[in-house]
Amino acid sequence: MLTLISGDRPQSRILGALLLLVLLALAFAPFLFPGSRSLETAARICIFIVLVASYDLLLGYGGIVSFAHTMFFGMGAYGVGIALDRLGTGWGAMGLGALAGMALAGAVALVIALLSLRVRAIFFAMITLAIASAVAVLVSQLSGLTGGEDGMNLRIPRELTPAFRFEVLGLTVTGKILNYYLVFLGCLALFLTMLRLVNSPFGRVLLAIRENAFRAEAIGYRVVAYRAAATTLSAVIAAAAGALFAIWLRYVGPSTVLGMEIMMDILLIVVIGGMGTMYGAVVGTAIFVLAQNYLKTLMGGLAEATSGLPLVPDLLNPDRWLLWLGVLFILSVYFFPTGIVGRLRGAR
Amino acid sequence: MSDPILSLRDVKTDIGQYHILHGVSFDVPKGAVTMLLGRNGAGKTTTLRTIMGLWRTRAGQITLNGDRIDALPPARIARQGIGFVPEDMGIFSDLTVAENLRLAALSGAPDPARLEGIFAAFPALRTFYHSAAGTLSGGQKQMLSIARAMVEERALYLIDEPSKGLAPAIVATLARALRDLKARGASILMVEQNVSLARALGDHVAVMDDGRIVWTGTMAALAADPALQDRLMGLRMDHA
Repeated sequence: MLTLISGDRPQSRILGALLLLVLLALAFAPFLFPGSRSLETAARICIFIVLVASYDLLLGYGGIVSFAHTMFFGMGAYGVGIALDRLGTGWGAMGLGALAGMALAGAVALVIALLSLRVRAIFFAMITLAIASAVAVLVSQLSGLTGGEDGMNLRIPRELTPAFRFEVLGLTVTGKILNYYLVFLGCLALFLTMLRLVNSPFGRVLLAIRENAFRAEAIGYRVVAYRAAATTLSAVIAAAAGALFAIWLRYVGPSTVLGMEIMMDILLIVVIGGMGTMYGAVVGTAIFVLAQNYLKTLMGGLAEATSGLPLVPDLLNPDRWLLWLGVLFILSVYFFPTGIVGRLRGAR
Repeated sequence: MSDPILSLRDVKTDIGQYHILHGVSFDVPKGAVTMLLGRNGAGKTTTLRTIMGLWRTRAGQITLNGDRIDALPPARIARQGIGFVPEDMGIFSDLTVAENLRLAALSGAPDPARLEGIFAAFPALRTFYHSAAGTLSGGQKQMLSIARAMVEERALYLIDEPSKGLAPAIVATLARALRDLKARGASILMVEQNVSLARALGDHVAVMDDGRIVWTGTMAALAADPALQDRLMGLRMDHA
Protein backbone atom coordinates (compact mmCIF):
# COMPACT_ATOMS: atom_id res chain seq x y z
CA MET A 1 0.00 0.00 0.00
CA LEU A 2 2.86 2.33 0.91
CA THR A 3 4.48 1.68 -2.47
CA LEU A 4 1.14 2.42 -4.11
CA ILE A 5 1.07 5.84 -2.49
CA SER A 6 4.75 6.41 -3.27
CA GLY A 7 5.95 6.22 0.33
CA ASP A 8 4.30 9.58 1.00
CA ARG A 9 3.03 8.93 4.52
CA PRO A 10 0.39 11.21 6.03
CA GLN A 11 2.92 11.99 8.85
CA SER A 12 0.12 12.64 11.33
CA ARG A 13 -2.24 10.18 13.01
CA ILE A 14 -5.19 12.54 12.76
CA LEU A 15 -4.50 13.13 9.07
CA GLY A 16 -4.09 9.40 8.48
CA ALA A 17 -7.42 8.74 10.20
CA LEU A 18 -9.14 11.51 8.20
CA LEU A 19 -7.81 10.16 4.91
CA LEU A 20 -8.89 6.63 5.77
CA LEU A 21 -12.33 7.90 6.77
CA VAL A 22 -12.76 9.77 3.46
CA LEU A 23 -11.49 6.76 1.47
CA LEU A 24 -13.84 4.31 3.20
CA ALA A 25 -16.80 6.69 3.05
CA LEU A 26 -16.30 7.22 -0.69
CA ALA A 27 -15.61 3.54 -1.40
CA PHE A 28 -18.85 2.41 0.25
CA ALA A 29 -20.94 5.56 -0.26
CA PRO A 30 -23.75 3.88 -2.27
CA PHE A 31 -24.35 1.41 0.57
CA LEU A 32 -23.52 3.60 3.59
CA PHE A 33 -25.49 6.67 2.52
CA PRO A 34 -28.48 5.67 0.43
CA GLY A 35 -30.28 8.36 -1.51
CA SER A 36 -29.42 10.26 -4.63
CA ARG A 37 -28.32 13.46 -2.87
CA SER A 38 -25.62 11.73 -0.84
CA LEU A 39 -24.43 9.84 -3.92
CA GLU A 40 -24.29 13.13 -5.86
CA THR A 41 -22.22 14.62 -3.03
CA ALA A 42 -19.86 11.61 -2.94
CA ALA A 43 -19.31 11.71 -6.71
CA ARG A 44 -18.70 15.46 -6.60
CA ILE A 45 -16.13 14.94 -3.81
CA CYS A 46 -14.32 12.28 -5.91
CA ILE A 47 -14.17 14.52 -8.99
CA PHE A 48 -13.20 17.67 -7.12
CA ILE A 49 -10.41 15.83 -5.27
CA VAL A 50 -8.82 15.11 -8.66
CA LEU A 51 -9.56 18.59 -10.01
CA VAL A 52 -8.13 20.31 -6.93
CA ALA A 53 -5.11 17.96 -6.73
CA SER A 54 -4.34 18.62 -10.40
CA TYR A 55 -4.49 22.35 -9.68
CA ASP A 56 -2.23 21.84 -6.67
CA LEU A 57 0.28 20.15 -8.99
CA LEU A 58 0.47 23.54 -10.72
CA LEU A 59 0.17 25.95 -7.82
CA GLY A 60 1.49 24.01 -4.84
CA TYR A 61 4.28 22.11 -6.58
CA GLY A 62 5.08 24.30 -9.60
CA GLY A 63 4.35 27.71 -8.07
CA ILE A 64 2.30 28.59 -11.18
CA VAL A 65 -0.96 30.54 -10.87
CA SER A 66 -3.49 29.64 -13.56
CA PHE A 67 -7.07 30.76 -14.08
CA ALA A 68 -7.70 28.34 -16.93
CA HIS A 69 -8.06 25.16 -14.92
CA THR A 70 -11.82 25.01 -15.40
CA MET A 71 -11.24 25.50 -19.13
CA PHE A 72 -9.26 22.25 -19.21
CA PHE A 73 -11.89 20.62 -16.99
CA GLY A 74 -14.48 21.79 -19.53
CA MET A 75 -12.49 20.45 -22.48
CA GLY A 76 -12.71 16.94 -21.03
CA ALA A 77 -16.42 17.33 -20.29
CA TYR A 78 -17.26 18.79 -23.70
CA GLY A 79 -15.06 16.17 -25.38
CA VAL A 80 -17.34 13.45 -23.96
CA GLY A 81 -20.49 15.51 -24.63
CA ILE A 82 -19.72 16.25 -28.26
CA ALA A 83 -18.52 12.70 -28.96
CA LEU A 84 -21.70 11.18 -27.49
CA ASP A 85 -23.79 13.68 -29.42
CA ARG A 86 -22.05 13.15 -32.77
CA LEU A 87 -20.87 9.55 -32.64
CA GLY A 88 -23.85 8.02 -30.85
CA THR A 89 -24.34 6.42 -27.45
CA GLY A 90 -21.60 3.93 -26.77
CA TRP A 91 -18.51 3.14 -24.73
CA GLY A 92 -16.27 3.75 -27.73
CA ALA A 93 -17.65 7.26 -28.36
CA MET A 94 -17.40 8.06 -24.64
CA GLY A 95 -13.79 6.89 -24.43
CA LEU A 96 -12.84 8.61 -27.66
CA GLY A 97 -14.44 11.87 -26.48
CA ALA A 98 -12.59 11.70 -23.17
CA LEU A 99 -9.26 11.03 -24.90
CA ALA A 100 -9.85 13.81 -27.44
CA GLY A 101 -10.71 16.26 -24.64
CA MET A 102 -7.58 15.27 -22.71
CA ALA A 103 -5.39 15.56 -25.83
CA LEU A 104 -6.82 19.00 -26.68
CA ALA A 105 -6.35 20.19 -23.09
CA GLY A 106 -2.75 18.95 -23.09
CA ALA A 107 -1.97 20.60 -26.43
CA VAL A 108 -3.53 23.95 -25.47
CA ALA A 109 -1.78 23.91 -22.08
CA LEU A 110 1.57 23.16 -23.71
CA VAL A 111 1.20 26.02 -26.21
CA ILE A 112 0.14 28.49 -23.49
CA ALA A 113 3.00 27.34 -21.25
CA LEU A 114 5.68 27.60 -23.94
CA LEU A 115 4.46 31.03 -25.00
CA SER A 116 4.01 32.57 -21.57
CA LEU A 117 6.14 30.74 -18.99
CA ARG A 118 9.33 31.97 -20.64
CA VAL A 119 8.67 35.42 -19.32
CA ARG A 120 7.25 35.75 -15.83
CA ALA A 121 4.72 33.64 -13.96
CA ILE A 122 2.35 36.63 -13.67
CA PHE A 123 1.99 36.71 -17.48
CA PHE A 124 0.95 33.09 -17.40
CA ALA A 125 -1.82 33.94 -14.91
CA MET A 126 -3.02 36.85 -17.06
CA ILE A 127 -2.91 34.89 -20.30
CA THR A 128 -4.80 31.95 -18.79
CA LEU A 129 -7.47 34.34 -17.50
CA ALA A 130 -7.89 35.88 -20.97
CA ILE A 131 -7.96 32.52 -22.79
CA ALA A 132 -10.38 30.96 -20.28
CA SER A 133 -12.78 33.90 -20.72
CA ALA A 134 -12.50 33.69 -24.51
CA VAL A 135 -13.17 29.93 -24.50
CA ALA A 136 -16.22 30.39 -22.22
CA VAL A 137 -17.64 32.95 -24.68
CA LEU A 138 -16.82 30.67 -27.62
CA VAL A 139 -18.61 27.73 -26.00
CA SER A 140 -21.78 29.75 -25.49
CA GLN A 141 -21.58 31.12 -29.07
CA LEU A 142 -21.03 27.76 -30.78
CA SER A 143 -24.45 26.51 -29.74
CA GLY A 144 -24.72 24.13 -32.72
CA LEU A 145 -21.75 22.17 -31.39
CA THR A 146 -21.88 22.76 -27.65
CA GLY A 147 -25.54 23.46 -26.90
CA GLY A 148 -24.66 27.07 -26.00
CA GLU A 149 -25.79 28.38 -22.61
CA ASP A 150 -28.31 25.51 -22.28
CA GLY A 151 -25.57 22.92 -22.49
CA MET A 152 -26.11 19.34 -23.63
CA ASN A 153 -27.98 16.43 -22.09
CA LEU A 154 -25.94 13.32 -22.72
CA ARG A 155 -27.08 9.84 -23.62
CA ILE A 156 -24.54 7.59 -21.95
CA PRO A 157 -24.42 3.77 -22.26
CA ARG A 158 -27.47 2.20 -20.61
CA GLU A 159 -25.30 0.19 -18.18
CA LEU A 160 -24.47 3.48 -16.42
CA THR A 161 -28.04 4.76 -16.05
CA PRO A 162 -30.58 4.17 -13.23
CA ALA A 163 -32.72 2.14 -15.66
CA PHE A 164 -30.14 -0.65 -15.68
CA ARG A 165 -30.52 -3.03 -12.72
CA PHE A 166 -29.05 -6.35 -11.66
CA GLU A 167 -28.71 -8.44 -8.50
CA VAL A 168 -25.48 -9.28 -6.68
CA LEU A 169 -25.61 -11.38 -3.50
CA GLY A 170 -29.22 -10.37 -2.98
CA LEU A 171 -28.43 -6.66 -3.41
CA THR A 172 -30.01 -4.67 -6.21
CA VAL A 173 -27.32 -2.72 -8.02
CA THR A 174 -28.33 -0.01 -10.47
CA GLY A 175 -26.44 1.50 -13.38
CA LYS A 176 -26.19 4.69 -11.31
CA ILE A 177 -24.08 2.80 -8.77
CA LEU A 178 -21.94 1.40 -11.59
CA ASN A 179 -21.54 4.96 -12.86
CA TYR A 180 -20.50 6.03 -9.36
CA TYR A 181 -17.83 3.29 -9.21
CA LEU A 182 -16.56 4.33 -12.64
CA VAL A 183 -16.12 7.83 -11.21
CA PHE A 184 -14.65 6.58 -7.91
CA LEU A 185 -12.14 4.16 -9.46
CA GLY A 186 -11.22 6.63 -12.22
CA CYS A 187 -10.59 9.35 -9.65
CA LEU A 188 -8.67 6.98 -7.37
CA ALA A 189 -6.39 5.97 -10.26
CA LEU A 190 -5.83 9.62 -11.26
CA PHE A 191 -5.12 10.66 -7.66
CA LEU A 192 -2.62 7.83 -7.11
CA THR A 193 -0.93 8.76 -10.39
CA MET A 194 -0.51 12.34 -9.18
CA LEU A 195 0.72 11.18 -5.78
CA ARG A 196 3.36 9.09 -7.51
CA LEU A 197 4.26 11.96 -9.80
CA VAL A 198 4.86 14.49 -7.03
CA ASN A 199 6.97 11.99 -5.10
CA SER A 200 9.10 11.15 -8.14
CA PRO A 201 12.32 12.97 -9.10
CA PHE A 202 10.12 15.10 -11.41
CA GLY A 203 8.11 16.27 -8.39
CA ARG A 204 11.29 17.10 -6.44
CA VAL A 205 12.54 19.23 -9.33
CA LEU A 206 9.19 21.04 -9.39
CA LEU A 207 9.54 21.78 -5.66
CA ALA A 208 13.08 23.04 -6.25
CA ILE A 209 11.84 25.31 -9.05
CA ARG A 210 9.01 26.59 -6.86
CA GLU A 211 11.52 27.51 -4.16
CA ASN A 212 14.04 29.16 -6.46
CA ALA A 213 13.91 28.89 -10.24
CA PHE A 214 17.38 30.45 -10.71
CA ARG A 215 19.01 27.90 -8.41
CA ALA A 216 17.28 25.02 -10.16
CA GLU A 217 18.44 26.37 -13.52
CA ALA A 218 22.00 26.79 -12.19
CA ILE A 219 22.26 23.12 -11.23
CA GLY A 220 21.09 21.97 -14.64
CA TYR A 221 17.28 21.91 -14.84
CA ARG A 222 15.42 23.62 -17.70
CA VAL A 223 12.82 25.51 -15.69
CA VAL A 224 10.60 26.27 -18.69
CA ALA A 225 10.56 22.61 -19.74
CA TYR A 226 9.60 21.40 -16.27
CA ARG A 227 6.95 24.08 -15.82
CA ALA A 228 5.50 23.32 -19.25
CA ALA A 229 5.40 19.60 -18.41
CA ALA A 230 3.64 20.29 -15.09
CA THR A 231 1.12 22.57 -16.83
CA THR A 232 0.41 19.98 -19.50
CA LEU A 233 0.04 17.09 -17.05
CA SER A 234 -2.18 19.15 -14.81
CA ALA A 235 -4.42 20.11 -17.77
CA VAL A 236 -4.69 16.51 -19.01
CA ILE A 237 -5.69 15.28 -15.54
CA ALA A 238 -8.22 18.12 -15.13
CA ALA A 239 -9.71 17.16 -18.50
CA ALA A 240 -9.98 13.52 -17.37
CA ALA A 241 -11.85 14.72 -14.26
CA GLY A 242 -14.11 16.81 -16.53
CA ALA A 243 -14.87 13.75 -18.68
CA LEU A 244 -15.86 11.76 -15.58
CA PHE A 245 -18.00 14.69 -14.37
CA ALA A 246 -19.90 14.82 -17.68
CA ILE A 247 -20.49 11.05 -17.60
CA TRP A 248 -21.72 11.26 -14.02
CA LEU A 249 -24.04 14.24 -14.54
CA ARG A 250 -25.14 13.08 -18.01
CA TYR A 251 -25.04 16.78 -18.78
CA VAL A 252 -22.46 19.33 -19.76
CA GLY A 253 -22.99 23.09 -19.71
CA PRO A 254 -20.94 26.27 -19.21
CA SER A 255 -22.11 26.86 -15.64
CA THR A 256 -21.26 23.31 -14.48
CA VAL A 257 -17.75 23.07 -15.91
CA LEU A 258 -16.50 26.44 -17.12
CA GLY A 259 -17.81 28.90 -14.51
CA MET A 260 -15.42 31.26 -12.69
CA GLU A 261 -17.18 30.21 -9.43
CA ILE A 262 -15.73 26.72 -9.89
CA MET A 263 -12.26 28.26 -10.35
CA MET A 264 -12.74 30.20 -7.10
CA ASP A 265 -13.90 27.02 -5.32
CA ILE A 266 -10.74 25.23 -6.50
CA LEU A 267 -8.53 28.05 -5.20
CA LEU A 268 -10.35 28.08 -1.84
CA ILE A 269 -10.06 24.31 -1.44
CA VAL A 270 -6.33 24.35 -2.24
CA VAL A 271 -5.79 27.03 0.42
CA ILE A 272 -8.02 25.31 3.00
CA GLY A 273 -6.47 21.86 2.43
CA GLY A 274 -2.87 23.06 2.20
CA MET A 275 -0.80 23.91 -0.84
CA GLY A 276 1.85 21.47 -2.01
CA THR A 277 0.23 18.50 -0.28
CA MET A 278 -1.84 16.15 -2.40
CA TYR A 279 -3.63 15.03 0.77
CA GLY A 280 -4.76 18.62 1.25
CA ALA A 281 -6.96 18.20 -1.83
CA VAL A 282 -8.68 15.21 -0.19
CA VAL A 283 -9.35 16.85 3.19
CA GLY A 284 -10.13 20.29 1.76
CA THR A 285 -12.54 18.97 -0.87
CA ALA A 286 -14.38 16.71 1.57
CA ILE A 287 -14.93 19.59 4.00
CA PHE A 288 -15.78 22.16 1.33
CA VAL A 289 -18.23 20.03 -0.68
CA LEU A 290 -19.94 18.76 2.48
CA ALA A 291 -20.29 22.36 3.70
CA GLN A 292 -21.61 23.44 0.28
CA ASN A 293 -24.19 20.66 0.29
CA TYR A 294 -25.21 20.34 3.91
CA LEU A 295 -24.48 23.67 5.61
CA LYS A 296 -27.85 25.00 4.45
CA THR A 297 -29.67 21.98 5.91
CA LEU A 298 -27.68 22.19 9.15
CA MET A 299 -28.43 25.89 9.51
CA GLY A 300 -32.14 25.28 8.89
CA GLY A 301 -32.17 22.77 11.76
CA LEU A 302 -30.21 25.11 14.06
CA ALA A 303 -32.49 28.07 13.21
CA GLU A 304 -35.50 25.97 14.13
CA ALA A 305 -33.90 24.78 17.37
CA THR A 306 -33.09 28.35 18.42
CA SER A 307 -36.38 29.88 17.29
CA GLY A 308 -37.12 31.08 20.84
CA LEU A 309 -33.98 33.20 21.02
CA PRO A 310 -33.65 36.75 19.74
CA LEU A 311 -31.45 37.45 16.66
CA VAL A 312 -29.86 33.94 16.53
CA PRO A 313 -32.48 32.34 14.23
CA ASP A 314 -32.06 35.27 11.83
CA LEU A 315 -28.30 34.78 11.78
CA LEU A 316 -28.76 31.05 11.20
CA ASN A 317 -31.32 31.52 8.46
CA PRO A 318 -30.47 28.97 5.71
CA ASP A 319 -30.46 31.79 3.15
CA ARG A 320 -27.30 33.10 4.84
CA TRP A 321 -25.33 29.88 4.28
CA LEU A 322 -22.85 31.59 1.95
CA LEU A 323 -22.03 34.14 4.66
CA TRP A 324 -21.20 31.33 7.10
CA LEU A 325 -19.20 29.49 4.45
CA GLY A 326 -17.19 32.71 4.07
CA VAL A 327 -16.73 32.93 7.85
CA LEU A 328 -15.56 29.30 7.92
CA PHE A 329 -13.05 30.09 5.17
CA ILE A 330 -11.65 33.13 7.03
CA LEU A 331 -11.38 31.09 10.24
CA SER A 332 -9.61 28.24 8.46
CA VAL A 333 -7.08 30.63 6.88
CA TYR A 334 -6.52 32.28 10.30
CA PHE A 335 -6.10 29.08 12.27
CA PHE A 336 -4.48 26.98 9.51
CA PRO A 337 -2.27 29.36 7.50
CA THR A 338 -0.46 26.38 5.96
CA GLY A 339 -3.75 24.61 5.33
CA ILE A 340 -5.32 21.83 7.36
CA VAL A 341 -2.79 19.24 6.21
CA GLY A 342 0.15 21.59 6.79
CA ARG A 343 -1.08 22.26 10.32
CA LEU A 344 -1.72 18.59 11.12
CA ARG A 345 1.70 17.58 9.82
CA GLY A 346 3.37 20.41 11.72
CA ALA A 347 1.72 19.44 14.99
CA ARG A 348 2.64 15.74 14.83
CA MET B 1 50.45 27.20 -17.01
CA SER B 2 48.59 24.12 -18.35
CA ASP B 3 45.85 24.40 -20.99
CA PRO B 4 42.99 26.52 -19.73
CA ILE B 5 39.71 24.77 -19.04
CA LEU B 6 37.88 28.11 -18.96
CA SER B 7 38.70 31.31 -20.80
CA LEU B 8 37.07 34.71 -20.59
CA ARG B 9 37.86 37.22 -23.31
CA ASP B 10 36.78 40.86 -23.00
CA VAL B 11 33.55 39.89 -21.20
CA LYS B 12 31.19 42.78 -20.55
CA THR B 13 28.09 42.38 -18.37
CA ASP B 14 25.38 44.86 -17.47
CA ILE B 15 22.91 44.51 -14.63
CA GLY B 16 19.96 46.70 -15.51
CA GLN B 17 21.37 50.06 -16.52
CA TYR B 18 24.68 49.53 -14.69
CA HIS B 19 27.84 48.35 -16.48
CA ILE B 20 29.42 45.91 -14.01
CA LEU B 21 32.06 44.03 -16.00
CA HIS B 22 34.09 46.21 -18.36
CA GLY B 23 35.96 43.63 -20.42
CA VAL B 24 37.11 40.80 -18.17
CA SER B 25 39.78 38.49 -19.60
CA PHE B 26 41.56 35.66 -17.81
CA ASP B 27 42.15 31.89 -18.01
CA VAL B 28 41.43 29.13 -15.50
CA PRO B 29 44.01 26.35 -15.89
CA LYS B 30 43.05 22.66 -15.74
CA GLY B 31 43.66 20.74 -12.52
CA ALA B 32 44.48 23.81 -10.43
CA VAL B 33 42.78 26.26 -8.08
CA THR B 34 42.42 29.79 -9.38
CA MET B 35 41.49 32.45 -6.85
CA LEU B 36 39.48 35.44 -7.99
CA LEU B 37 40.37 38.15 -5.52
CA GLY B 38 39.54 41.81 -5.14
CA ARG B 39 37.82 44.43 -3.02
CA ASN B 40 34.08 44.32 -2.32
CA GLY B 41 32.11 45.38 -5.38
CA ALA B 42 34.96 44.60 -7.79
CA GLY B 43 32.71 42.27 -9.84
CA LYS B 44 33.87 38.84 -8.62
CA THR B 45 30.41 37.38 -7.96
CA THR B 46 29.08 38.92 -11.18
CA THR B 47 31.91 37.19 -13.06
CA LEU B 48 30.94 33.78 -11.63
CA ARG B 49 27.25 34.39 -12.33
CA THR B 50 28.09 35.49 -15.87
CA ILE B 51 30.06 32.29 -16.45
CA MET B 52 27.00 30.33 -15.25
CA GLY B 53 24.74 32.29 -17.62
CA LEU B 54 22.71 33.76 -14.76
CA TRP B 55 23.68 37.20 -16.08
CA ARG B 56 23.95 37.45 -19.87
CA THR B 57 27.09 38.93 -21.44
CA ARG B 58 26.74 42.12 -23.47
CA ALA B 59 29.97 41.39 -25.30
CA GLY B 60 32.94 39.05 -25.19
CA GLN B 61 33.44 35.29 -25.20
CA ILE B 62 33.46 32.57 -22.57
CA THR B 63 34.79 29.15 -23.57
CA LEU B 64 34.81 25.90 -21.64
CA ASN B 65 37.31 23.37 -23.01
CA GLY B 66 37.40 25.44 -26.19
CA ASP B 67 33.60 25.53 -26.72
CA ARG B 68 31.70 28.79 -26.39
CA ILE B 69 29.18 28.74 -23.59
CA ASP B 70 28.27 32.43 -23.26
CA ALA B 71 25.10 32.06 -25.38
CA LEU B 72 23.85 28.93 -23.61
CA PRO B 73 21.09 28.91 -20.98
CA PRO B 74 22.27 28.23 -17.39
CA ALA B 75 20.90 24.68 -17.32
CA ARG B 76 22.94 23.72 -20.40
CA ILE B 77 26.04 25.38 -18.98
CA ALA B 78 25.60 23.34 -15.78
CA ARG B 79 25.20 20.19 -17.86
CA GLN B 80 28.51 20.94 -19.64
CA GLY B 81 30.05 19.97 -16.30
CA ILE B 82 30.20 23.09 -14.17
CA GLY B 83 29.38 22.69 -10.49
CA PHE B 84 28.31 26.03 -9.01
CA VAL B 85 28.39 26.85 -5.30
CA PRO B 86 26.73 30.28 -5.05
CA GLU B 87 27.43 32.90 -2.41
CA ASP B 88 23.99 32.39 -0.79
CA MET B 89 24.61 28.59 -0.71
CA GLY B 90 21.66 27.98 -3.04
CA ILE B 91 20.26 24.96 -1.26
CA PHE B 92 16.58 24.03 -1.46
CA SER B 93 15.23 24.47 2.08
CA ASP B 94 11.96 22.57 1.50
CA LEU B 95 13.78 19.45 0.30
CA THR B 96 15.76 17.04 2.46
CA VAL B 97 19.56 16.77 2.38
CA ALA B 98 19.15 13.51 0.43
CA GLU B 99 16.85 15.15 -2.11
CA ASN B 100 19.22 18.11 -2.53
CA LEU B 101 22.07 15.73 -3.30
CA ARG B 102 19.92 13.59 -5.60
CA LEU B 103 18.86 16.68 -7.57
CA ALA B 104 22.48 17.64 -8.12
CA ALA B 105 23.36 14.20 -9.50
CA LEU B 106 22.25 14.96 -13.05
CA SER B 107 23.14 11.55 -14.44
CA GLY B 108 20.90 9.67 -11.99
CA ALA B 109 21.21 8.56 -8.38
CA PRO B 110 24.41 9.64 -6.57
CA ASP B 111 27.27 7.15 -6.74
CA PRO B 112 27.42 5.39 -3.30
CA ALA B 113 31.23 5.58 -3.14
CA ARG B 114 31.13 9.30 -3.87
CA LEU B 115 28.42 9.75 -1.29
CA GLU B 116 30.61 7.98 1.29
CA GLY B 117 33.42 10.41 0.41
CA ILE B 118 31.07 13.33 1.02
CA PHE B 119 29.95 11.89 4.37
CA ALA B 120 33.60 11.39 5.36
CA ALA B 121 34.29 15.06 4.61
CA PHE B 122 31.04 16.34 6.11
CA PRO B 123 29.76 13.85 8.77
CA ALA B 124 26.87 16.21 9.66
CA LEU B 125 25.29 15.52 6.27
CA ARG B 126 25.03 11.81 7.11
CA THR B 127 23.39 12.65 10.46
CA PHE B 128 20.83 14.97 8.86
CA TYR B 129 20.49 13.05 5.58
CA HIS B 130 16.69 12.81 5.80
CA SER B 131 16.10 16.21 7.45
CA ALA B 132 14.80 19.25 5.59
CA ALA B 133 17.76 21.31 4.41
CA GLY B 134 16.08 24.44 5.80
CA THR B 135 16.61 23.12 9.34
CA LEU B 136 20.43 22.91 8.99
CA SER B 137 22.77 25.44 10.55
CA GLY B 138 24.59 27.97 8.35
CA GLY B 139 27.76 25.89 8.28
CA GLN B 140 25.89 22.70 7.48
CA LYS B 141 24.07 24.47 4.65
CA GLN B 142 27.42 25.53 3.20
CA MET B 143 28.65 21.93 3.51
CA LEU B 144 25.55 20.77 1.65
CA SER B 145 26.09 23.40 -1.02
CA ILE B 146 29.66 22.22 -1.63
CA ALA B 147 28.63 18.56 -1.36
CA ARG B 148 26.03 19.16 -4.05
CA ALA B 149 28.73 20.31 -6.44
CA MET B 150 30.92 17.34 -5.43
CA VAL B 151 28.23 14.69 -5.83
CA GLU B 152 29.36 14.17 -9.43
CA GLU B 153 32.67 14.61 -11.21
CA ARG B 154 32.65 18.13 -12.69
CA ALA B 155 34.90 19.62 -15.33
CA LEU B 156 35.05 22.84 -13.31
CA TYR B 157 33.89 24.03 -9.91
CA LEU B 158 32.83 27.65 -9.41
CA ILE B 159 32.80 28.41 -5.68
CA ASP B 160 31.72 31.79 -4.37
CA GLU B 161 32.97 32.76 -0.90
CA PRO B 162 32.53 29.39 0.84
CA SER B 163 33.81 30.66 4.20
CA LYS B 164 31.60 33.77 4.38
CA GLY B 165 30.07 34.24 7.83
CA LEU B 166 31.13 30.83 9.14
CA ALA B 167 32.77 29.91 12.44
CA PRO B 168 36.52 29.03 12.27
CA ALA B 169 35.87 25.35 13.07
CA ILE B 170 33.46 25.07 10.14
CA VAL B 171 35.89 26.93 7.86
CA ALA B 172 38.56 24.37 8.78
CA THR B 173 36.21 21.51 7.80
CA LEU B 174 35.42 23.20 4.49
CA ALA B 175 39.10 23.87 3.85
CA ARG B 176 39.91 20.18 4.37
CA ALA B 177 37.19 19.14 1.93
CA LEU B 178 38.36 21.67 -0.67
CA ARG B 179 41.97 20.54 -0.24
CA ASP B 180 40.85 16.95 -0.90
CA LEU B 181 38.99 18.10 -3.99
CA LYS B 182 42.12 19.90 -5.20
CA ALA B 183 44.25 16.84 -4.48
CA ARG B 184 41.98 14.80 -6.77
CA GLY B 185 42.96 17.12 -9.63
CA ALA B 186 39.81 19.21 -9.81
CA SER B 187 39.76 22.52 -11.69
CA ILE B 188 38.41 25.22 -9.40
CA LEU B 189 37.67 28.92 -9.76
CA MET B 190 36.99 30.35 -6.33
CA VAL B 191 36.08 33.76 -4.97
CA GLU B 192 37.31 34.07 -1.40
CA GLN B 193 37.71 37.00 0.99
CA ASN B 194 39.39 34.88 3.67
CA VAL B 195 42.99 35.55 2.65
CA SER B 196 44.58 32.72 4.62
CA LEU B 197 42.18 30.20 3.04
CA ALA B 198 42.81 31.70 -0.39
CA ARG B 199 46.56 31.49 0.14
CA ALA B 200 46.39 27.91 1.40
CA LEU B 201 44.33 26.63 -1.53
CA GLY B 202 45.18 28.86 -4.48
CA ASP B 203 47.67 28.04 -7.23
CA HIS B 204 46.84 30.94 -9.50
CA VAL B 205 45.31 34.33 -8.87
CA ALA B 206 43.30 36.82 -10.87
CA VAL B 207 42.74 40.12 -9.10
CA MET B 208 39.74 42.28 -10.04
CA ASP B 209 39.05 45.94 -9.52
CA ASP B 210 36.13 47.97 -10.84
CA GLY B 211 34.92 45.26 -13.19
CA ARG B 212 38.33 44.54 -14.74
CA ILE B 213 41.15 42.07 -14.20
CA VAL B 214 44.07 44.13 -12.94
CA TRP B 215 46.60 41.39 -12.27
CA THR B 216 47.08 37.68 -12.97
CA GLY B 217 49.87 35.42 -11.77
CA THR B 218 50.71 32.69 -9.33
CA MET B 219 49.70 32.71 -5.69
CA ALA B 220 53.36 32.27 -4.77
CA ALA B 221 54.28 35.48 -6.63
CA LEU B 222 51.49 37.46 -5.00
CA ALA B 223 52.19 36.05 -1.53
CA ALA B 224 55.86 37.00 -1.83
CA ASP B 225 55.18 40.63 -2.73
CA PRO B 226 53.53 42.64 0.10
CA ALA B 227 53.70 45.87 -1.89
CA LEU B 228 51.77 44.26 -4.74
CA GLN B 229 49.17 42.91 -2.30
CA ASP B 230 48.75 46.34 -0.81
CA ARG B 231 48.40 47.98 -4.22
CA LEU B 232 45.97 45.42 -5.62
CA MET B 233 43.80 44.64 -2.63
CA GLY B 234 44.65 47.17 0.05
CA LEU B 235 45.91 44.52 2.48
CA ARG B 236 48.90 42.35 3.36
CA MET B 237 48.37 38.58 3.17
CA ASP B 238 50.70 37.82 6.09
CA HIS B 239 48.71 40.22 8.32
CA ALA B 240 45.28 38.95 7.32
